Amino acid sequence: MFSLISGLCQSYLEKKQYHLLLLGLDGSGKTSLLERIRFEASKTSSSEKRTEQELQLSLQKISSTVGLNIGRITLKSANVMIWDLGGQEALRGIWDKYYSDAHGLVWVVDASDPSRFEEALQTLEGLLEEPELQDVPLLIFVNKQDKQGAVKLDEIRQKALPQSGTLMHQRQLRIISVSAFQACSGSEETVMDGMNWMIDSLNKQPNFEHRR
Amino acid sequence: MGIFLSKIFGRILGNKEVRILILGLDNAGKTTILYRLHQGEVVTTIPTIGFNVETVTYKNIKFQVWDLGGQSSIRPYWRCYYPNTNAIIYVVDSADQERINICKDELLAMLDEDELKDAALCVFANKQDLPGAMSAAQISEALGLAGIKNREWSIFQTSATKGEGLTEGLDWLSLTLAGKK
Repeated sequence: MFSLISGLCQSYLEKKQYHLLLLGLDGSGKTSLLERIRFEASKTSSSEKRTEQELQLSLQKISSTVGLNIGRITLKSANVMIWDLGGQEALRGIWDKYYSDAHGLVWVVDASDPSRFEEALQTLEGLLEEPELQDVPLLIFVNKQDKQGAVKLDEIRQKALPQSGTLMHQRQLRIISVSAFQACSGSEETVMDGMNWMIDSLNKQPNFEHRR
Repeated sequence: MGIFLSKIFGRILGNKEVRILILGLDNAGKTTILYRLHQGEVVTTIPTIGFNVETVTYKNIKFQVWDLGGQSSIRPYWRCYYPNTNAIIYVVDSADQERINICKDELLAMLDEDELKDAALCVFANKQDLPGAMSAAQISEALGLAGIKNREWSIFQTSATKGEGLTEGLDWLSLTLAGKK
């Protein structure tokens, strides 16, 4: 009886564990966004407080990722582990090792680099065809909106994202314009709106237990 | 009193000390890397029996770097140094294709250790100046790095004798460790 009750309590209190894959072409700003997410998430929860200035300093230092960066955050009482993998072409071969464990996919597009929209589109289309990523919610960050010459969201939809009626639209989807360098405030949608949407979507899907 | 003051200054200036182990098979170039980082020059080394330790300050972070001997007979003693380690620099001799499997086994055994479960992993694919050196992609494949999901990892092509790739590694470490603490 006691073990029944304690078991119930445990399953009630136990935090959900989610793994998110943060992918995109090299230089699209995945690691910077990860830093921004870590920073914004730690504002509310953890004891460690970095200032906006310190964050900006560390954003300057980011160089291209060769390997894996991890962000562990707590959001809406779920433990979220974010995998940020290097996006260079030679490194994309390791992405697939992480598909089977991912609950959600976060795709990053560099809005300021129209010359690579085609490559971004093709890479994303390839990802969406992966059987292991069939039902996962997809969050798209259209990044670098702070840069001069950044392309507007409507045009990005036309040129760098799959058209309607394709695989992308058969799943839960959210597209948000962001900048890793701008603090999350004001009325515009932010990085954290996207993350909160992702967690809400995952919470709605009860059948994720089979993933590790 | 002096300690107290220096602690306060450390707080203000953002100095912090992290503990890093340099590990890898014998003759991978661990000691050369340590002294390249510390003194910025190439020293003549002999096989390390025991350890070398130096403090390297880079971008406001003090790296306390331990270089442990890599011969098979003394590898069992690595574990004595595991507690409180923030990051591991794992050095691979990129030109040594014969022993890459041993290299992988030692790495996997090490990553299994409970005391290292929070340590970030930075792999140096060293000796890139030698002919026939494997690339970072080949080595990460051979070591099975993509199977790692619970820790930050990164790989850099380095040449300790030419001083290439080392600062990139330290940059990554400083960023990663700053985010974790």
